Formats: sequence, structure tokens, C-alpha cells
Amino acid sequence: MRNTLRRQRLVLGVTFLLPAVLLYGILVAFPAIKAFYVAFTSWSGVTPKMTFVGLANFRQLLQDEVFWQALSHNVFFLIVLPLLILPMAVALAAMLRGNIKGGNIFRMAFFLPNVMSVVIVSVLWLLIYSSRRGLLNGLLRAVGLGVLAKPWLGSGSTALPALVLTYAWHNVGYYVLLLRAGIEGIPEMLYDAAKIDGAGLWEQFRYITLPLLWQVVRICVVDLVISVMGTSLFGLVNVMTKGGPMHDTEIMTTYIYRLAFRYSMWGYAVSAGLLLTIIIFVISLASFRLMAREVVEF
Amino acid sequence: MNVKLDQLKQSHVIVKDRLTNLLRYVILSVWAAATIGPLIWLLLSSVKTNKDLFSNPWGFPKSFTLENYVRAWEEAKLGQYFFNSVIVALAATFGTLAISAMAAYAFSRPRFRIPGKRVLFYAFIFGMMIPAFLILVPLFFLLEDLGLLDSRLGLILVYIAWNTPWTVFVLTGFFASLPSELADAALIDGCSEFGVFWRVMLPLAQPGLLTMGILAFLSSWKEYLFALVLIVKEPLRTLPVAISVLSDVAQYGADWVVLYAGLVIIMIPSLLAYLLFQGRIISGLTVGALKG
Repeated sequence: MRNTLRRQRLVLGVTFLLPAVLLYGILVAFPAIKAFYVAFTSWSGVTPKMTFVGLANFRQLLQDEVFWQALSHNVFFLIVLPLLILPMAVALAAMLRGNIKGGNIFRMAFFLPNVMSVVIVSVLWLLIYSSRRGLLNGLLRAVGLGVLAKPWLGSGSTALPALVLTYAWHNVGYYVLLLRAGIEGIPEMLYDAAKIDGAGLWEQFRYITLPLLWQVVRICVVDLVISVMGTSLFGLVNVMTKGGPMHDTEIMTTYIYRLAFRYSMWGYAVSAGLLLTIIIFVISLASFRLMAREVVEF
Repeated sequence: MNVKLDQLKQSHVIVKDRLTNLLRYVILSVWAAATIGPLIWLLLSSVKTNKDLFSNPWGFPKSFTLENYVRAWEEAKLGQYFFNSVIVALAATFGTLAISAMAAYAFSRPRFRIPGKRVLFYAFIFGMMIPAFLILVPLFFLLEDLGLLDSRLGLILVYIAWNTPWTVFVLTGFFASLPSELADAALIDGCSEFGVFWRVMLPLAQPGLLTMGILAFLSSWKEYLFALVLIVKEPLRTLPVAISVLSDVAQYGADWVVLYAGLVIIMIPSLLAYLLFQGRIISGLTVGALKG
């Protein structure tokens, strides 16, 4: 009896694990390993021929003007987005604390932009930023500030901030959500004690909410940093500006996409992809470390 | 003397608090307006005619027409792309749940002693960190070699593979929390190990399965990169790709209102899902992000 049960369990265990492991192994793990290999070869993609060329692809990347342009734009997003989104999200999450009239309406409104996909938000804001028919210029003109109306996505200097605003609009709600969960974990008792000591709302925020929320803020920063290098920002930029005008809003992900599927430079695109992966690991680790603070026990 | 000072301090705090509270409401309301405003503008614009839109981009519609919606569904073929998205998302969701539940069950119960199970689990979880842009090109060629390129089946399989690690991770935790006494009792009653899974554990896991199912559906529904790259034939396109193409086309042509209507159409399923499953979606996302 014992042996058949053991055998039954082995068979079941393996059979249950097999589909997931196989599917993932073939469609994700295998291409990933292949990418590591191909990045060091001269592969044209047309023929299966691959010759080992060492770091030649990476040398070419480092001399590529567009690559550096794209990377600089990524850096721009990496710096501006957290600075814009996180203080807003922390403030909003803190403001939602406790019972406020209409709290549920506010909470639903905040998460609404995040419920819609990147593409929907991107096309919506494409329409908002439209120079003749857009909401933004329309509003400006209506309040007499028509002189400020611009083709927002038409020039590099305005396009990048415009993209930042759209991305923030789309994603603040998500971080508010995470931070609210963090705030719920803070015992009400601490706030009560502070109130007795005469602390007003602002003091409560500064001395209780903020320090105890720091670990969650840290997670949000890393999440944001990773998403700047990922598919979410790719969707936004690709739909709204396609990296243009003239690479003014190009980022690494849109550049890789274009290298592969517009210029058919397959091997080169794979090397860029590998470089991107390394960059992602480095900056997410760095930002996590940089934000380390003493953990406050309560 | 001290009492008077305290009273003064307290009233000072109360006034400050009232101001802070007022400021709080103002800021929250401004943000809520900034969030809902564009959506209302979208809705209003989608029932205008092209002429109306051009002359009056952000006022109320001069005339009301639902023709744009009909045209978006038929002429712009959004109905067809909607169908594609439904098929892909549903199939991907069921596939993900099926193989993830099985794998999670095997991972979570210590009675399934398989050599290297632990290493496999960690490798799986580690794999979650693989960026899509790393595997993009090799995956493209792999699907081509397998004859799965430019097919809904190929996209479905990719979505399943992509969603699985995350789903397995969460479900493993879920299954691990189920008591083994029930399993033992069922075994004594003559149930097979598979029967235990099918008749006892799986039903108990329903809440977790439902939450992960909703998340998997939503993520497949809105996915853009793989849908863009792995499907080329126009009739097989999914909604996100279709709407971005429609947006490109509108920029060259002049038929904007159709685009507005199309946007509203594509928004509806996401909004509906959110309204219906708000609680689960939010708890699923928070638990995931904060634990992982």
C-alpha cells in the first residue's frame, strides 16, 4: 500500500509539474538563454549562421549615437518620474486616511486611470495633446492662455514632459493603492497618542506616517524604476510618439523594437536587449540600496 | 495659568487642523477632477460629428449621434478585434489557471517528494525577472520555427507561459495554507491522490483561483508588446494593437470621432471588470507587490 501510494504521488507530482515547466522552459527560459548566446555572435537573422565575435556587438552599441540618445531619455524618465509620482502618491494616500466624506468616490477615481490599458491611456492623451482638437489646447485657449498652446508631442522639449505627465496620470493610482495598504498597517493607537500630545494632521504625517511608510516607498521606487525600462513605458512612447520626432523621445525599449522589426537588425537588437537587462538589474539593485534606512520598529 | 495656555494651544491646533482638512479636500477634489475630466471629455466627444468636433473641441456636443459607435464596430472592424481579444484572453486565462494550479499544488504539498523540486521552484520564481525585451527576438524566431507565429494559438501559449510563474507563486502559497488533514481523510476514504486534488483541494482554492483568473484575464486583455510583434495578419489582431493602428490611421485621415468612439468601446470591458471585481483586483495587486 505504501509503495503504490508513493509511486502514485511521484507520478502525480511530476505530471502536475510538467506542463508549467515545459511551457515556461520552451517559451521563456529557452529564448532567454539563446539571447545570452546570440548577443556575442554576428547573427543576421536571415541565415542560421552564427560566428562568435565576442564583445563586438556591444562595442558597436556604445558607439551608436541613437543608443546614447535613447539611454539619456531613459535616465530622464528614471529621475523625473519617481520625483513626480511618489510624493504625489504619498500625499494622496495620506490624505485618504481615516473617514472622509466621499472617500469611496475618491478611491475609485484614483485607480480608474490604472484600470485602463497603456494603449487606451496613450491614445486618449494623444487626443488630449492634439494641437487643434485637443483638450489641453482647447482649455488654454478658453481661459485666454491661447498663447501657451503648442503642438505638445511635436517637439522634443515639450514631448518628453508631456509623456511624463501621461505616465504619471496612468500610474499614480497604482502607487496610491500600495501606499494605502502600507498606511493601513500603521496602528491607529500611534495617531491617538500623538493627538493627545497635541500633534495636528501635518505633524502626524511627518512623524508617524512618513517614517513608517518608508519601506513601502522603497518598493514603489524599485517598481517604478523597473517599469521605466519595461513594456509599460514602451507602450506609452510607441503609441504616442514612436520615439519621434527624430529620436527625440526614443527610449531603449522602442529602439530595440525598431532595430528588430523595422531595420531587421536582429543580432544587434538582441545585444541591446541583453544590455538593457543588465542595466535593469543594476539600477533596481542600486535604487533599493540607496533608499535603505533603519527599519523603525513599533 | 497653565490651563489657559493649554486651551490656547488646543484651539490653535483645531484651527490648523480645520485648514489642513479643507486643503485636503481641495487637493483630493482637484485630483479626482483631473482623473475623471479627460474621460468625460472623451465620452462627450465620442457622440459628436466630425464637423462638430473640429469647430468645438471641448464644449458640449451640438448634436448627438451614436453613429460613430456603429462605424467603429463595423467599418473599423473593432467587433472583429474584440472577438480576437476575447478568445485570446479567455483561452490564456483558462490555460494559465489549469497548469498553474497543478504546478502550485505539486510544489506546495511536501508529500510530493520530487528530486530538485525546490531548485525548480526557485528557478521558476527567478524567471519572473526575465524582461520581455530580452526574449523578444529569439521568441519571435522560435515561434516562426514552430509554425506558431502569426496565430492566436501562438499568442495564447506565450501569454500562458508569461503569466504562469506569477500565478504559480501566489497559488503555491495558497495551497500550502490548506490543511492536509482533509487530504488524509479523503485518502482513507479511498480517494486517489488526483481525486484529493480535484475534489477537495481545488474547490477550497476557489477564491484564490478566481482572483488570479481575473488578473490573468486583465493582463492578457491589455497586453500590447507580444500582440504587436507576434501577430502580423490584420484579421487576427487584438484590441490594443487595433486601437493603436486606428489612431495612426486617424492622424492621416480626418475621421477622428470614430477613434473616440472606438476608445470608449475598448474601455468598457476593463471598466466593467473593475466595477465588478474591484475588491479582488485591488487585494490581488497589493498582496502581490508587497510580498514579492
